[in-house]
Parts: sequence; structure tokens; C-alpha cells
Amino acid sequence: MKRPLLVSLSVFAAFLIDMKLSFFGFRTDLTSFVVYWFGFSHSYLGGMLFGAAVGGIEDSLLSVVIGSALFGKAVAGFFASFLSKGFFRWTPVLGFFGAMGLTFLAGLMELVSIIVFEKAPDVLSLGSLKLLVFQALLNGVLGFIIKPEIDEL
Amino acid sequence: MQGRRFLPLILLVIFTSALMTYQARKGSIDPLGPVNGFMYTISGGISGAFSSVSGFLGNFGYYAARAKDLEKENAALRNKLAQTAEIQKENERLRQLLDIKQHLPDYVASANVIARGAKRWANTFTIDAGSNEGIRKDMTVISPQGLAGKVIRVEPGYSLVLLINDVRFAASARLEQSRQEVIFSGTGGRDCELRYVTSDVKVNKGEVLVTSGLDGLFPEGIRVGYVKQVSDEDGFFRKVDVVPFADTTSLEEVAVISR
Repeated sequence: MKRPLLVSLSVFAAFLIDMKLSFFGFRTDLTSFVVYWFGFSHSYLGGMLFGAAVGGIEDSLLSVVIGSALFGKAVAGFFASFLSKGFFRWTPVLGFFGAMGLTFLAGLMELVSIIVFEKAPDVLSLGSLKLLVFQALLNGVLGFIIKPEIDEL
Repeated sequence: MQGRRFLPLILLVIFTSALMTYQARKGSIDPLGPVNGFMYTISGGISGAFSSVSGFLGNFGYYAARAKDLEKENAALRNKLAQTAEIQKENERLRQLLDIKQHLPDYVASANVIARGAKRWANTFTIDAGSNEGIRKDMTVISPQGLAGKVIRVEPGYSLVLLINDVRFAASARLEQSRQEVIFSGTGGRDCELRYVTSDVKVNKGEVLVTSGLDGLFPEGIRVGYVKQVSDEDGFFRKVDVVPFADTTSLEEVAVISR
């Protein structure tokens, strides 16, 4: 009972912070971190569906075309589950690169979707890449600090 | 067996591609539309609650050091002062908007900013005026300082505005001194940039940019920003950074105008 409440609160808080905070003019992307954090401790299907749900809400609230964030975050959630399987064991360094890589991946997928389906080729610019890198680094730092709870699988 | 793991991913690609293709052809769908307005209301309420809580916590230590009666009196006076200052500021902003209303024949509506977009690629905000107030898609949004963005989605009670610093924002503009026609675009950060500026175009640092109206979207002559930096030629084009006049992070009231 605690876990769903924690996840819901995390998603809500991430949306709220993303709406309110910006550093050096760049917005944060904590919702991607929450997707990574959830996906890490769940199956690939669970991670993907969670990412799709978070991305879907984001699209519906703040976008014209629904699908780009849904796709990007679902992909991130899918691959997050692989970081806790096989020979991977969580360490702060894995957390850093995992959160950073998946945030970047989610952003890249979203970017590609926008270019292809929202007919906005101008999106691909140095500014957008800077934004991606900034958000990925910020989430990487969080990934270094926060250990996902994998014992509650 | 390993391949089956990727089956959901493949289905996801097919589903989202179909979904976005449909919307690209037929227009956007909005399954959560009815609850979005409710969500914005909640967001606004929570922001207010956060402000109240942070304000309370911030002042707590200060007032705790003083006697209770003095504290009450002090707090009351401070509140009054803050309210007065806030009313004065609001008055000033509304006066500026009123000025816009009187001077712009294409004025449609003025609106308050009620939420900011959290989407990665969208520097957006939501305003509390929509189709009920006569707002339509692609209308221009301005602040007293200058161009703020354009309307990209309209609902009966609210509208979504794409800000000028969004990476998808582009407008035809003119350099005020040299009268050179340029394309102005957002970068996703605080500053914006000019696109496709070749080396033969003379661009001076500090030069003011206004909309040219040639893109068929924005009315002519709206102040946009000023040139912050002109870098050397990089390939075919020069890099020109622009600081928009409208500070998109602190906008509270805006006006919507039609072309």
C-alpha cells in the first residue's frame, strides 16, 4: 500500500517541480528520473507501461500531439528494467550512467517523434541538445544518490 | 525467447506511430481533455499552497524572536504593505495591458498565466482565456515588454501558449536599424537566436528586433528582443544570440491579439 502511494506522490512532485523549476533557463526533467527509478525495480513490461502512463499524462496536459513523451518515457521505462537484471548490480556509478543515459534516450526518442510527426525539423538544434545534456546530467546526479528499491519486486 | 522481450517495445512503436500519424493527418485528440482544466486548477491551488507554506516557514524564525503582540502587529502591517505593493504592481501591469488594448486594434483578450508547461521540448504556459473569449489557434500573445508567444491549443476556458524561447518557435523578424529580414527562433534556453544569417548580413550587437509580419502569423512591428552576441561564421551561417524583451519566466498577465 505504501509503494503505490510513494510512486504516485513521486510522479506528482516531479510534475510540479518540472513546472516550477528551471536552472540557467533550462527546465528539469524529473519525470524521466521517476520512470527510470520505477523501471529499475520492475519488469520490462511494468516499466514500459509506467513510462507510457507518465508520458501520456504529460502529452495530454501540455502538448498538441499525443504520443511523443508517451513513446520516449515508455522506451526509457522498458530499458530501465534491464539495469537490475543479469550481471548488473546497482552501484552509484551505474545509477549515474543509468539515469543519465535513460533520460537522454527518452529525450532523444521524444525529439525524433516531434521531428517526424509534429513536422518540426527546427527542433534539432544546439539549444535542444544542450537541454538534453543538462537534464541527463541532472538526473545522473540523482541516480548517483538515490538507490532504487529492488527488494520489493 | 529473448526476442519475445522486445515484442512489447515493437508494439509500442507501432501504436505510437499510428497514434501520431493519425493526429498529424486528422488533428490532435485529447482523451484527458475534460480533466485537464481540473488539473490546471489543482496545479494553481497547489502552487498557492506552496507559496503560503514557504512564506510561513520563511518568516517563522524572524517573528519568533519578537514579542507576540509586536509580532502580530508587525505581521499585520507587513501583510498590508505586501498586499499594497502587490496591488500596485498588478495595477501597473494591468495599466500596461490596458495601454496595449487601447493602442492595438487587433486586441482580442487579456489573460492571466495559470500554469507553466513541464514538457521537455515545450516552453509553454496556460492562460485562463480560451475560445469563449474569442481566442483562436495561432493568435499572437504579447506582454507589455514585447512578443511572448503564440496560441497553439484552444479550449473553451483556457489556452496553451508556445513561448518565444521554445525550440519550435520561429517568426519572421526585422533588424530595426539595418532593416534586414531575419528568422527568429527559440533555443529551449533563456536566450533565442537568429537562424540562417549569412556573413553578408550586417548585424550589430544591441540592435533591436521587431516582427516583420511577412510570415503571415504575427502582426508587424512588435518588439521581440535585442542582439546579445554575434559569433564568427560557422560554416555558411553566423551565430546570433538574441535576448527576448519578454521574460518568459516571470510573465503573469498577457494580451492576445489577432493578425
